[in-house]
Amino acid sequence: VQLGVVLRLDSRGLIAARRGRTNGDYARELRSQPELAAVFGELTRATEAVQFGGRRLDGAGFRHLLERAAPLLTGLALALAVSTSACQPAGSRVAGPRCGADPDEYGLLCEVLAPSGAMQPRYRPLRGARGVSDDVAAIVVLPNEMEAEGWAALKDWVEAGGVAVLTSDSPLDDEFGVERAGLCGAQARALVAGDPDALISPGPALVAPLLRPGALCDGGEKYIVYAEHGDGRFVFLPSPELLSNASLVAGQNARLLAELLDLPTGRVEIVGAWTRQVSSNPLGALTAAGLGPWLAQLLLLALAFAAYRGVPFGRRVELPENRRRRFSEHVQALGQRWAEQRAARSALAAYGAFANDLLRERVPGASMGADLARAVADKTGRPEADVSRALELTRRAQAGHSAGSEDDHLRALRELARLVEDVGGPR
Amino acid sequence: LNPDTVRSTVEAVCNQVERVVVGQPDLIRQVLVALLARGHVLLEGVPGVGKTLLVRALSAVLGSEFKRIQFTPDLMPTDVTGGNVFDARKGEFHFARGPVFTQLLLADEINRAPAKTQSSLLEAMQEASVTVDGTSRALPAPFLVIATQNPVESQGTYPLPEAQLDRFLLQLLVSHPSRAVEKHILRNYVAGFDAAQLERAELVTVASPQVVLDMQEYVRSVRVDEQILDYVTEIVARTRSHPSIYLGASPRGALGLVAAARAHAAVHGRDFVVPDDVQAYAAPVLRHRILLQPDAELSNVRADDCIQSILKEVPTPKGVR
Repeated sequence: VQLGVVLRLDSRGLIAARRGRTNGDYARELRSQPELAAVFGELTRATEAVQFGGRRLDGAGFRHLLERAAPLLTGLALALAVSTSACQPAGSRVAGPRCGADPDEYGLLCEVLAPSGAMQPRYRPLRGARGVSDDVAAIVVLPNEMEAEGWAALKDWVEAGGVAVLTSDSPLDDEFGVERAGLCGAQARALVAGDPDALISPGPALVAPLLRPGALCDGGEKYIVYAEHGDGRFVFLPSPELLSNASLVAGQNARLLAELLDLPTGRVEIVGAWTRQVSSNPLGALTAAGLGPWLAQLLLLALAFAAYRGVPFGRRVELPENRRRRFSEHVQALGQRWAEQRAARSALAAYGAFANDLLRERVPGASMGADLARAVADKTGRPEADVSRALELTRRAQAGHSAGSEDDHLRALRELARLVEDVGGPR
Repeated sequence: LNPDTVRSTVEAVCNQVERVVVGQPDLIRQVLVALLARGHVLLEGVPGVGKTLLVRALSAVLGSEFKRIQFTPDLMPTDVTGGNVFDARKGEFHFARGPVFTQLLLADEINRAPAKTQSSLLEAMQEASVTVDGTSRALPAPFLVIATQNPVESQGTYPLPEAQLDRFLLQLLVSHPSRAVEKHILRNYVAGFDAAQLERAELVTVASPQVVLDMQEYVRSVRVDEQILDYVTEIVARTRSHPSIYLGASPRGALGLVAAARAHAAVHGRDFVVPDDVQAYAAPVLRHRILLQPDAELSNVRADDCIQSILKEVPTPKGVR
């Protein structure tokens, strides 16, 4: 529920859900909407107490929380509330992709159709050793791709006393003269005592002149019909919509459906989309799944790519070595940083101290000023004016004077570097 | 104790301290979290933002003993811990207790003393006892050290090594107050408030050292779910593989993060830790325990930036196990 609320708020643009963010971040984002923030805060405290505090939340507490969260969740909260309260106490619900609590799934059927039993999704064909168990009282057939053998097995099982609810086109439709045609309005009138109406959305109706109706559309078309077969019975519905969670939480639909179908007590199985005959080999399974053309295209693409790239295609590539940085690279980074800051004067002051010491050491007889410049110029062959200017700028930079431009300081730096090299370089 | 009493006690302490320390509510709560988590605090900030006043006000409100040491280059270890002094009349040595024998200690400008003196205090922080001439003496409980250092001046200082920094539970950054807060401070001053005469502020003692000890004990019972442990482990592990970080946080950092998150949960009236608690204290606990790569430092990347990027990347625990 908490995740649902977060996603709903995100989709409405009220918060920005990201993986590194916490409920506290979202609560702060909702401050501008005090009512939402209050509901979200209450929901968060309860959720975190369960999730991180090791607490338990009883059914009443959960329903109270859902009521508070309803404005944030809209219809989903109602479906969750009913399905959770109905299915949790039994403890016998079998988890499956069609038995969940989403509006278009069938979790509520377990309570509506089999109050003392359990609902079991079926993904295997209705034949051989994996046929119908003795404790199965009813089979609800949702849209599927069952083969002829499966339908024949189902028919035999009904003949022996079972009840099957058919909700989509099947080979048995022709056999019993049923056609899914026409249009049912927004309401179906059930032919039972008491409150007769079921709330449905507009969709197909049934044309079955020979079969007894259980419910009619508001326009008089048949909505549910019964076909007796041997000791058992087929129940035809125009679509599986009436059995979904979304439908069963609407109005009195759940009670009405239980009365209309009147199924015997016992296990209820759902025949779903994956129910079909298994293949005897992997190739058959791929073909049956319709993956043959995809695989063929993939193979052709790989061959075309191999032809296009030639021999190098698939050749091993040596990954670049993850080496440590050299000292010079660190120095270079430092230099770039100084350059970005246009700190040539500071660099000149720092480097100048080193260069001055080195020049005095390598050019004996002169310690400073014009004497040093002359001696260095004599030894290196550089113009005395250039040497003097570089040394003077260095002196000023060390003293903190701002004489000279950035370019002057850079030129002086280069001149000093050249002189250091000419007198033998740093050793 | 229960979550509500812990929260109400902390709120009462904060309300009293906020009467004199203006505009620093987060700092006050963070220091209290460190106290409840049995940790110590390193405050980094310019002088004159109320660090001493904070500790003095805390000691008054908690009914605890308070002392202050100004660290200087010539400060000796015995100036901190105390030492054996010869009594000529009795002809024997007796132990003269140093300022470290207190409950709340302000170590001002800790980086101005040499390493030997720093380590004498840091050992006391770690062991909660002082050993002089082979004799160990326990420090009073609760014991909280708030050390300060000035981030601007670096000449004549002895920066704390990483191993020593690791002993502080939190590093808190104190900046200059906003204009509104500064005006509030001035208004208090004009109205006659004098930080040197705190007793005139008539702060109410709303807790006692025993209450603090009870709350510390309670914090140790705050529940930490397995998912939270995974979350903390992942955050700390990522400090060791982050491209801008040269040296990641130590296991002591992970322990510190859990301890601070527990105390933060208790301060908010919960007896269990949630991811918000971890995120709230990731930066104060980890920022002084990581070393940045040289090129990251040159690019002005800060430890807090790295921690924030890690928090953004690590998924917060959301799913029910």
